[in-house]
Amino acid sequence: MDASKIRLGETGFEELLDWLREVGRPQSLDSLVYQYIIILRNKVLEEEQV
Amino acid sequence: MEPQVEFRGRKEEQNIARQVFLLMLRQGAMYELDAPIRQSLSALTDYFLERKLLRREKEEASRLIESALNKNDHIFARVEREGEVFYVTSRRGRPVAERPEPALPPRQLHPTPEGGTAMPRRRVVRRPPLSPFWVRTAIRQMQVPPTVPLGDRVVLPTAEQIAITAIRKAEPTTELHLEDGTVIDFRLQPEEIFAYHGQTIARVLRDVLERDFRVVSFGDAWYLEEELEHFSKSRLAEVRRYILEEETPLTDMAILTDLFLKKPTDPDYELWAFSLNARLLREKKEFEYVGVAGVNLWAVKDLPAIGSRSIKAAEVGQDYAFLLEEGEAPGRPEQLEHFLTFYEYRYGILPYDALARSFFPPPFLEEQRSAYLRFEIPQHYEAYAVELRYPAGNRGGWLWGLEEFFHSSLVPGALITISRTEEPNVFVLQYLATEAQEGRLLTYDERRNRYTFEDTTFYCEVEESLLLSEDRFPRLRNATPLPPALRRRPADVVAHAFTLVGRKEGAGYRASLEELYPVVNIERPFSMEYLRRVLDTTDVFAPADEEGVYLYTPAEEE
Repeated sequence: MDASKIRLGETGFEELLDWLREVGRPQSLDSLVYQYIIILRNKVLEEEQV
Repeated sequence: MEPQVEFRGRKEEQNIARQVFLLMLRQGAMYELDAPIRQSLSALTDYFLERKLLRREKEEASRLIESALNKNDHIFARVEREGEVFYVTSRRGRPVAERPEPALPPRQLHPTPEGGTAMPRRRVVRRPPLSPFWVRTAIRQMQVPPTVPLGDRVVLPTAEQIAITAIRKAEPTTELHLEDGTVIDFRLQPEEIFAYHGQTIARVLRDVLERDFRVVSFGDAWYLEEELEHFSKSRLAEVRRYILEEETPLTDMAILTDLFLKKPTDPDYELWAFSLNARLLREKKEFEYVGVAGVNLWAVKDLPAIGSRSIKAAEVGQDYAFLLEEGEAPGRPEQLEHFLTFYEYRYGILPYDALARSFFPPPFLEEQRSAYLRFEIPQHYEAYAVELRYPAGNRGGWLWGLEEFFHSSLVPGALITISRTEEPNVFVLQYLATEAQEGRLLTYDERRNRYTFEDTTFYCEVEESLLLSEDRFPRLRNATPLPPALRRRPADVVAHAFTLVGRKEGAGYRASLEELYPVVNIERPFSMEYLRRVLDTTDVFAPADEEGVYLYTPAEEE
């Protein structure tokens, strides 16, 4: 994905909620931010690798 | 794609290692990538317990964190120094050894930094080859305005710039440009992005999470509404009744253990605790959160009030409004020392001043009104329920609930010390016991509505200058309290104090700060800083030729 198309807080937010469901327990904001960064980064770098 | 940091161990251990790593990333946000970031095991244990990230005894929590970090030795290096265990990592998430102090000045060590474990992270920026085709194409596509106003200088891009732009447009970018000028480069490792931009992303994410009805928060924890345990209205009524029966705020743990038969060791306990706390927080009409980080306490409306019957909370809040203008205290004191004033002694109050703010736990939730604390008095084998009222709006903060203890054991001027315990809402209050001392000290005679002196025997260390004895302040005998309208005006209280302790000088009075301070604190609270401010900013007061001495010249009545 082109990073310029990312809308912070929208892009990848559903994946973040899926991750939260998968983890199965409440998470701190720091943990959510870190996971959100991983999700966005994967989107950007996957595209680049293709 | 470069590998990300992987956490090893059981799920709980992975979670602990992740939390520690994130914490250390924040700590080392400004460090170079391979610089060691160090944390002691004891500090990490305190962090986990204070934030309630682990619900265990301190020793057990410490063992669990140690085990989790030892299993992640590919991230954290374990170091023992003077009997204390430390863990060291870097922003790359590698177990780096701590570097010794460089033996030579940095300039001589340059360009190969001692202890550097990797090449500098600076990437080589490859400039695109300047193909003549691209240059020509780009120039042909340029839109030159048909007329250029005279005097306006148009700077045309160079052929090289145009070519670079043209090539860039063809490639997807890895950089996200935010409106505030922040640029997030997703080629960086997640931990680097977190360290540089974590706070910016957290701000945006928090806003989105707060707006999304599918997500619920309590304190710093977030989870999905659909996954929570459900509490019916009748179960909530049961919780309310239980708190009323016990006549004291109860912890989430007590409620879950006694009413829902949930033990902290149950695998789903954390989810139950989160569900209960998030639910009670919504029931604002019935329940009030009065806990601190690490101990979630819940109160209900009709619980017996903590505080003084002789003064209303609103009045105390106004009396302490001046504390809102005080700056922050440096550091976090291990112990709080305080000399009691007459006002504090009379109502069993302590000020939530700058020092107290740095000592007592801050509000755990936004808009939290108060916290329920327990003060243990080991010298008397007693404990008192104390309410910490946080500042709100234009009202200052204070602690109260100590009236009975102050009246039975202390006198105004007594020195008290307060220390923390392992429980975040429990404190130890002590005073320095002495042999019996006698004095005729000021008291308030409620029946006659007058201040009087009474023979008093006391057994505590006092600051002599704060002791309101008849020898020092004879004019206070039979003085009446100020009318409420005058009492509300600090300058009037100070002027009144001049007339009670000052020496007549012409048409006015002369008094030192040492004389004024205990007397102004009879009617309403003053810090020494606030007293000075009132003296320095009110026209009727002026500094005398002597240090710490002021003059009061009453304004002529019209």
